[in-house]
Amino acid sequence: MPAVETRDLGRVYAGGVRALEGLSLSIERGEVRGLLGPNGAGKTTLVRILSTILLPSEGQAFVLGHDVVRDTAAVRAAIGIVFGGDKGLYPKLTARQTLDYWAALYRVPIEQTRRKVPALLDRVGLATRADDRVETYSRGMKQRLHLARGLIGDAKVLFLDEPTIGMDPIAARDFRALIGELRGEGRTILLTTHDMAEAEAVCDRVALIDHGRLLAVETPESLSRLVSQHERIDFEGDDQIVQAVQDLPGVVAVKPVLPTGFRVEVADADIVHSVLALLVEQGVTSVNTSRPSLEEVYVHVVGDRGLKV
Amino acid sequence: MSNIRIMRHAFLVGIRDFQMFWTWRTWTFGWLARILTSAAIWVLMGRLTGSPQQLDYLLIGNAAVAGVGTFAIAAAVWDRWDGVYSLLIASPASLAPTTIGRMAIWIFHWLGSSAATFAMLILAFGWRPPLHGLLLAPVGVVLLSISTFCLSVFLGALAGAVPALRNILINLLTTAIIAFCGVSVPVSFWPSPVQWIAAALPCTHGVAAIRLMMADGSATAILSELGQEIAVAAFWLVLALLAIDRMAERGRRDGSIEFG
Repeated sequence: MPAVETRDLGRVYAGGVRALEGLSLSIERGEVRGLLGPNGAGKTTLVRILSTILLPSEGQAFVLGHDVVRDTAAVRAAIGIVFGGDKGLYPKLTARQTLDYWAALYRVPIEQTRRKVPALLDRVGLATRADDRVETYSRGMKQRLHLARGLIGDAKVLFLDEPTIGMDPIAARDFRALIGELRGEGRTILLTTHDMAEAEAVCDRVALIDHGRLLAVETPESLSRLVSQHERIDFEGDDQIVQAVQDLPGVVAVKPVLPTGFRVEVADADIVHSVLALLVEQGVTSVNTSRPSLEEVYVHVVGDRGLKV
Repeated sequence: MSNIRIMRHAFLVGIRDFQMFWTWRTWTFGWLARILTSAAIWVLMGRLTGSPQQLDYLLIGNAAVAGVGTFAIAAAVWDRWDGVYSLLIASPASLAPTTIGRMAIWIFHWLGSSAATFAMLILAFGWRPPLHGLLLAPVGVVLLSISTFCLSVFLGALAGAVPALRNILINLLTTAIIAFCGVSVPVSFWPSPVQWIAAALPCTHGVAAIRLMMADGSATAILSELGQEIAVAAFWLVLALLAIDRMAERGRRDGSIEFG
């Protein structure tokens, strides 16, 4: 049984705005799944449905086999939600009071709470500030407290909605390390993010969605291969060489790149050899081939529907 | 038991809310000054009528409900402002104990306001109610505060679902209490339909009970009014408990529950 499963999931808001359409997704237990998409793609709508705070208009969604519409209580007991930004915490409470409160809400026995709260605070590096008010925390500290709050009920499935948004790079790196630890504990994580590096760093697989539809589900590496036919060759040369390259069959484009070079995009990986041979023949000595980053894949898949995904 | 535990924690959030609004200085010299100024106006109006009975009527009514109904409904939507509303809904617990726990601090605000108003009327304006009435009055004030709280929780549930209604509901509540519940104007003054509505509103029976206490009313009549006040409280509490989670369900359907 997958940890999370959706079948033809759809959501239409008032005014007929369709946020999700026919979205079918399966996330295995223990998997860290990234959810990438531009603003308005439907990422947060999907997480809201899975978190039981939004009802789907059509289709079904299950968390650990429990229907999010009919078995709401079972779903709620199994999930933890963490979202980014300053909201979602009581600013006037201390971190310890915050976790005590959420432990009560998740029906964690009092004895267990007494052990668990200090342990969680220690784990997220807030033990020394446990009795300070949340309003005095930095963004990164608040985010770590968010994560501790999401874990207080021993969630088997965690929904992280852009959890590192607004965090400085060091804090974000530490937070990702925590996510890595959670994966090691066998928890299932669904992470929505705009940050490609984050998705590449922590996700087992990445789902790309746009306009409420699922475009692709791949490992970060596989997604990169999706556009390998758009493999690129960077070189430094003059206009005559550029013209010669452009005349080669299979070359899609030759674009100038700063400061003095050019980038060749080819329609097929096999063309790379022809381009390289021509550049060597023309006496070009500065040549570099590279694979696309996940960010470029994202732009290609979301922005160029010509790709077959 | 677990709901009481949740309410205890939510009450702490409420205390922090209160501390955000008031220090003991601002409460004493700001809030109380405002409440007491209102009471002083009623005293002067009562004296202008030249009738000791009317003066007593105004003083008892306005001291009993001083401050009642304020802030609690507003507190019902603060979970949204803090961005925790969606998290509370997605937790295994009902929303009721968290909402009630966070709002409950304002009962104490009302009780303090009423007690201070009674004290000032006695100390500063020379009002001399019968001692036994004065000793019994807190029972009535506590009950009418609790029943007003129960209605506030119900209205707070509506405001939680439609935050734009919040200020309208607060003003409706405080206006209805002052106008229709026998605080300054006898309930009997109003047409019958209004009297029926007033009978189902908080304060009406509590204020009537306090008036009876102050006027050596029979124990039976006093207990009857107090019993009706309890019934009103129970009625609104049941409606509130039904409304809180239903409003959350409504939010799930219409998509108004956001993260953050």
